[in-house]
Amino acid sequence: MKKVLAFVLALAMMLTMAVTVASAEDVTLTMWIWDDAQAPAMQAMIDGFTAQNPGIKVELTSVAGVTDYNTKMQAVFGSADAPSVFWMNFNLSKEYVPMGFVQDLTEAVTTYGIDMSKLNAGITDAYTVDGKLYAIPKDTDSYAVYYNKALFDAAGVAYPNDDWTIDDFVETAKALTTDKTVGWSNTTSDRVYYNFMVSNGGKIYSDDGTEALVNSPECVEVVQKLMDLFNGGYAYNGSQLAEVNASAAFTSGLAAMDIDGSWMISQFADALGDNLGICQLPSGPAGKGSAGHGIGYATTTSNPHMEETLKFLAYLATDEAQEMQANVVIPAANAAAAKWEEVYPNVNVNAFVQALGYSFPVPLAATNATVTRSTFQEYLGNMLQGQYATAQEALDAAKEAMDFAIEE
Amino acid sequence: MSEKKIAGGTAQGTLPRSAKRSAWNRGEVVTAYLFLLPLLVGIALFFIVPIAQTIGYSFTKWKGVGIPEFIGLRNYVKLFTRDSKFSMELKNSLVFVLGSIPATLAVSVIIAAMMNGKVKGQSFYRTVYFLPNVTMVAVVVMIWRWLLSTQYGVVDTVLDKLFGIRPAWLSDTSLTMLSMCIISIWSGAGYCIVILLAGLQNISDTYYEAARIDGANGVQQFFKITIPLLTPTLFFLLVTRVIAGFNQFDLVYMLADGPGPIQNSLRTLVFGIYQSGFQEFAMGYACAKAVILFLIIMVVTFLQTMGEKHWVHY
Repeated sequence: MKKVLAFVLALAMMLTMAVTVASAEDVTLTMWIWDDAQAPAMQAMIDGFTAQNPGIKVELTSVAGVTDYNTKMQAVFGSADAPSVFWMNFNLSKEYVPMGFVQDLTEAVTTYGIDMSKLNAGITDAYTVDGKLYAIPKDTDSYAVYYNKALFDAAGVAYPNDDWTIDDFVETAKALTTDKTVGWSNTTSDRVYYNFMVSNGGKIYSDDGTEALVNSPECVEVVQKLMDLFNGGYAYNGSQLAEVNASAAFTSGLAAMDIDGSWMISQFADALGDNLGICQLPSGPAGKGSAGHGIGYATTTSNPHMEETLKFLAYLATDEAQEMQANVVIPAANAAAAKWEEVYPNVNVNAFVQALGYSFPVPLAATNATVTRSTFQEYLGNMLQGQYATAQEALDAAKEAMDFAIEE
Repeated sequence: MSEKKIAGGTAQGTLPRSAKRSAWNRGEVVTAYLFLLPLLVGIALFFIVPIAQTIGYSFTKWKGVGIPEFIGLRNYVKLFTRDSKFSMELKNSLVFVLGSIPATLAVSVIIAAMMNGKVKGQSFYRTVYFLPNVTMVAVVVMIWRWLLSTQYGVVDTVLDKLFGIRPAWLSDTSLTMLSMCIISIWSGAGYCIVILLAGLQNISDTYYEAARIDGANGVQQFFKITIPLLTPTLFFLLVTRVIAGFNQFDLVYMLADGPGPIQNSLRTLVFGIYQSGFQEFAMGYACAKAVILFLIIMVVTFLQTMGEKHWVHY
């Protein structure tokens, strides 16, 4: 008898754990992001939304680091634990949308009156697949050259101006190099290399995204110039970058120039103060090019609170919500982007705003986008580490491996 | 394991088969299985079923979500014919196990033997040696990154003063694996030392006393008494540490920043599984890698158990 009783009790306990008590009335949405630095701004947006819609609560979770975020996201996708609203980046939309778990928002745009013309067109395009919109643009970014005025003064080199060319950039880097400092920090970021390749008239992928074109003469020519810089000691090579990362070298005055994104501005402004200069990217024969990226807000097809979620997404697209993030990132709303400029009155933030005009979405292959991109990053790493004698050799090898990854 | 123990404990082994069965009290058997039930359910749910599922998924093309597509042996064919990363992973895992586990055990035996005597502040040393084991790998790697930095590191500063060399421990791809082994030995020794100390304290003093009367010196005592009587502990450590070595992931993850030669020089099988499954959305392929790792560990552990009787003294 005792045994039976114990068994029944144990069973009862297991059942209570399995059944969650559903409370009605208030709806609680969940939201996942991957950047702690942006959590306060996100919370402000949530508060703004809840003030207008008292019945809907939003619970914010910040998963530190985009890599861990992706791992976590993949584990909950398609399950009841999936967040109602989540940040999505370009790479992930290429993977997630075909899986059928990302909600098509095309209809919601008309139903909830979201004014897409107010939002950054490049980011909207990147989240549009076959004419259907899968995410509401959140922010955008762009590239410029950060430079240390003190190191320019010490070397007696004139500050760069926005008209400079890639050759000017190379010469400036050489002139700035001393036995203690390098002219350019160099980077392991593929996006910076895309900037150079595109402004020199090259393409990363064919228009349909089925073939890598990184070994075209235009790409090879400009990459060879950069290779000469880091092999000649005018910029850090792969081994050096593995020990001191590019931005740390720049903020500690070991590198005079760093090509980096708009998201670095507050960190650099804090570290260098008045010595921080910002200039637009150097031009090539095809003008300037900045590999832009932007996060989008998305929801899943299995979301049980779709109506409330769409309401929240519509709010996130408004100027009011977009402006709240101007302290940390460039908002995707064009009007709010100007607000971002006002946050940093002492530096030439305009270089980044100008760069939005020649921004192109980070190039991705049509299939296996993530693997193909990390393949290029791997070959970029090999090249930085000095495994190839010429840029031609390096990029031929990269193209072959990327094509292989696309077809897999 | 536990099933065997209970059965062995009840039946004395001398009774004939039929008598053995009737000797068991039916109620006791049921109770025994009831006690085992939570464990068995746990093992089935969290080990047997996932292992079976992994093997099943290894024959599919699957992104981790959605419907898997059966592709037969294609994942395995790709592993052994077209994936150059996989051969790196196999080689690195093997080199890492061979390079770190025996050395960890050797270092641990020496330190444990030194601490076993009447050492002043023994518990202090024990804590110090055990500390790396309870420190997060992320922290361990950050510290070693500083120590081994070419420009500012203590190690290279000393080497530069003494020999005029500054090896790039963490970026020269011929040294990175060595550095990872060193870090692993440093952080893994503490655990082994504590287990070995327990083993040492189980060795009765009478053996040493007899040896001293026979005129054996310290070194002889160490090799003729300490080591042989420590072999059961060493065997346990060897088996579990080798398995842990094949499962190395976090050091690679922390030491290799992004794709490139440094990552390739360190990538282990588990790192490859993680990358295929969670970064490249090829979960079916990752499962195939996991099955291979499972087989490797099974064979290695089996061989170790086979070899046990040749060198382990109980």
